[in-house]
Amino acid sequence: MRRRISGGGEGMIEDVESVMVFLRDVAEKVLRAGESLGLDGIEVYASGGLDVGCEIENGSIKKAEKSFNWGFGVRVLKEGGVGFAYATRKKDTERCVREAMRLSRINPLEGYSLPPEPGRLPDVKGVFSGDVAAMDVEDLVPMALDTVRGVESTGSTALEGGVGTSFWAYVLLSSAGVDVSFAGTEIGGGVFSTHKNGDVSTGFHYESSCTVTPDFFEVGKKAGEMAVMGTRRVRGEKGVVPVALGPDALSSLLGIIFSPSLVGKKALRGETYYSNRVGEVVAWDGLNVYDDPLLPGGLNTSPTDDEGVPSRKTPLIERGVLRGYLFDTEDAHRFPTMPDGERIGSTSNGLRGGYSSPPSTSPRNIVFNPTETSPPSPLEKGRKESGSGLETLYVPEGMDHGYLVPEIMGAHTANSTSGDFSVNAPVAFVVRDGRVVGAEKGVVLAGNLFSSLQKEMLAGVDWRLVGGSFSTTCFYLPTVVAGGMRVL
Amino acid sequence: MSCYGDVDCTLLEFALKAAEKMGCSYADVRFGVSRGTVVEVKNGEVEKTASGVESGVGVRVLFGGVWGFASSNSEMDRERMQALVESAVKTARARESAGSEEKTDVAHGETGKGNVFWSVKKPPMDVSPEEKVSLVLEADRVAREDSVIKSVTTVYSDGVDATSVFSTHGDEVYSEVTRTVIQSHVIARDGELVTSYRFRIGGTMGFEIFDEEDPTSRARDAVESVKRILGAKSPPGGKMTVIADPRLTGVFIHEALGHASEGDLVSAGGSVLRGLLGKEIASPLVSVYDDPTLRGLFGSFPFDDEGTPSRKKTIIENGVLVGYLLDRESAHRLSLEPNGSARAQSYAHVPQVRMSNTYVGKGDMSFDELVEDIKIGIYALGTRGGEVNPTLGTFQFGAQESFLIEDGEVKEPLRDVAISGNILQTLKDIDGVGKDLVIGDPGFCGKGGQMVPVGDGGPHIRIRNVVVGGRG
Repeated sequence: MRRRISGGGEGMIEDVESVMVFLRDVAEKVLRAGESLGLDGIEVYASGGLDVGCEIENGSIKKAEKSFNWGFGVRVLKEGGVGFAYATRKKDTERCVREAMRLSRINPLEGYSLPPEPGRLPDVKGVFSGDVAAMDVEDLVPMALDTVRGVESTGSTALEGGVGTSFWAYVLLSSAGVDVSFAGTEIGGGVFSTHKNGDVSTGFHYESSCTVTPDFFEVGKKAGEMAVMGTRRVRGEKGVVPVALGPDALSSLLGIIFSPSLVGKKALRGETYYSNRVGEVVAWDGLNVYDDPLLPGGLNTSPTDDEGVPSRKTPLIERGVLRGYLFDTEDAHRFPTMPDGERIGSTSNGLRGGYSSPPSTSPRNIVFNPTETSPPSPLEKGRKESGSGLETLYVPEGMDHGYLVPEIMGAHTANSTSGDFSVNAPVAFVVRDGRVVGAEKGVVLAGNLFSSLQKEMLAGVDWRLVGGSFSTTCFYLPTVVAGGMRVL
Repeated sequence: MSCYGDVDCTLLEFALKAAEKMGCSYADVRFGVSRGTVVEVKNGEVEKTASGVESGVGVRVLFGGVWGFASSNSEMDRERMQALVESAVKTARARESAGSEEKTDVAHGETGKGNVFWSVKKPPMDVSPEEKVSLVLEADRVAREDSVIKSVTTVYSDGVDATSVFSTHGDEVYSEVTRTVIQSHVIARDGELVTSYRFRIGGTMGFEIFDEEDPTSRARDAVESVKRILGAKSPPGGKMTVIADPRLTGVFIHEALGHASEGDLVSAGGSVLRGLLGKEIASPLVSVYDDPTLRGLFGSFPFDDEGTPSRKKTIIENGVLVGYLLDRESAHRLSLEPNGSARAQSYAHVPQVRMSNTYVGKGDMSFDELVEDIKIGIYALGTRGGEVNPTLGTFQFGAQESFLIEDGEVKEPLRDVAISGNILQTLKDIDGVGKDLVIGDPGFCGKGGQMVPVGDGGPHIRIRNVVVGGRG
């Protein structure tokens, strides 16, 4: 499956090694361009990658696509200021450095210096697969068709969806001695299904992994089964009842409300619910949350962050007690100490949205664990994930009644500051005697996430890695039954 | 035709000829160059600045009734362009070889020709970084004058998008559109109570937009609003009558109707509006339009991303569904004419059917008339955004600020009102439309992983039987 470099040389570079060589060449050129400009520091982040995708519509493959994209971002320090600029053409190298210098005039950050050479880097597992990097459209077509067959095996229709792979690589060089390069892969797919049985309902399921090809038939089957069950109309009880949020639903709320409130600069400015609460009980005592940028197979796993700071695990909540916040190097420079005087340093959370974004503090792989034990390794679950014997509409053991909500709409309308939310579950499954008996359309869930996290939780065993739909954050979490939510 | 900026038109023509030689029944090629600057200020300090330029090319082909697409942002010459077209054709062939039965095609619509520069009075590229920062710092300073305000984040951004679209239907268009926007997030805290308010000013304009709408006066309004919300109670949950202000009416119609009227969803069977053309789907008081030709508004554009000249579309006229938003493929599949609704986030994205500036037409009621016979209800203003499942017709959106209405009077403030409903039911439950049309609230709309700038608006409207959710 090894691909050749296409005829155009760098027109569309189709293998990782060549991309790395190309990016290093660009990064070195940019660094050299900065040498003669009297800078106090310069850092270049050159990144590039190839995305291949195959889209499904109404049970057949509608289109296939392939995109190669690269660019570089330059951060410069000059006379106590920081400037950032980006470009996508080699010929813009010097212009780009000069533009960063121009912007450094308006962005003072006195005393800041670029992160030092990181030394020995930690090992990471499960983020790059040569097989995934080498996949082309021909490899994806059968996977897309498997997804469709999975949906159709349940009598539902594969309305829209797709499968895709990508590889990405970056080279980070700085005048402070940072020289880091890294590559990763991702393969995933999902489908939105509909089922008509008098009534119409919809289902959605997707799986993704850095290295392991999901069982796409199972992905389709789960989406199909969800739609089938959605047509069995049942009326559930209203008011404050137990709600099991599936990993997708829970991570959308956490990604809008919870993880941004742990960004150090916001917390230290008094902007978030967790401001001034380190060391205090802020959640149920069975809850442990940490950010683990070395999580095997995590979607933000790499040996360093995007500033070249070696990755390390940061405890956030331990047995319900708030333990700390997240910082990149600029934020740590702005806020050198915690209220108790403890010195702050980067927690390896300087991430970039791509070459065109300067680094900023962002959670990486948030492990949300409301159980007594350590979660299973995402890699051990491997290929079995989608077919691990759990039912499609899996109800955590111990849940007697209420609703199971796999997906929610409108999480981004929540009040991220207060934690108040009111979201819509297009299909909410009614649970009675510990199993799903039917579904209700368009149920509204309202509550306050920070309050719900203080109530006793019940966790499932269906651990999943979920990519952030509104941020770059990755979550690793199971279905969680949370209290304090009102169903309308 | 002549060529502008960095665009080498002969290369685009070459791509189309290459696609035709390879047997493609249709092809289009888009070359885009985007320049932009971002300045972020937090509590009086500049936190981030970035500036840059990106460019690239995307080739879309229809081969054997199947779409293929390839894009790259490497610098192009003939050899590389040939390789890119081959790559697009190869992706289409891979799918074709799988024996997939469904074939598609495109409808011929109006052909786009010409160069359109939407000139602005104060091009952001001519404004110094210092002047941009001082505008943002002033809005930030004003917002922080009140001691209840704990934090203010203000982000300014500007950009110029230059796009060329050439197609085998004969389209040859080049456009340059400038967008300038400022948005601010104000956080207030009083003891344990903490809440926030956002505002945004933006349009297809240059720096002159701030002469028309002053960020400092919006910042002052934001402070007043967030103070009201801070002391407000949660709304009573349940079904009630809601009056939406023009901003909320805009996001309501965007979510509750706009998405479901997108031709790609309709033709794929993914919209509740399929098969309802010519049917009464809303109250006769309601007319809805989508208009990308309104110069200055955030969601405007002169040509769509297939090269079709943009035009005003009527979606609902006096309650009757009269049109969908259509690109060339969905027009073919629905046997209708394309109306210039294909939009892509960038050259690297495949165009989808999207909205532009979507709004409810004005009615004849005053605000007092809308409110006077409401026994208990909610007056909801501004928006925190929304989302829709167009297949089921379920939608959800949030208001920024709201007030209780009791016995025909607007009373105390409420916090965090979110509204849910079903498209086909809710459109019929609109029983009052105001005469105070305001269009142009800027926003970003996401679909299929792509974000595009849009505008929304309308008059005040009154909706009966809306499910209101507050805090649990």
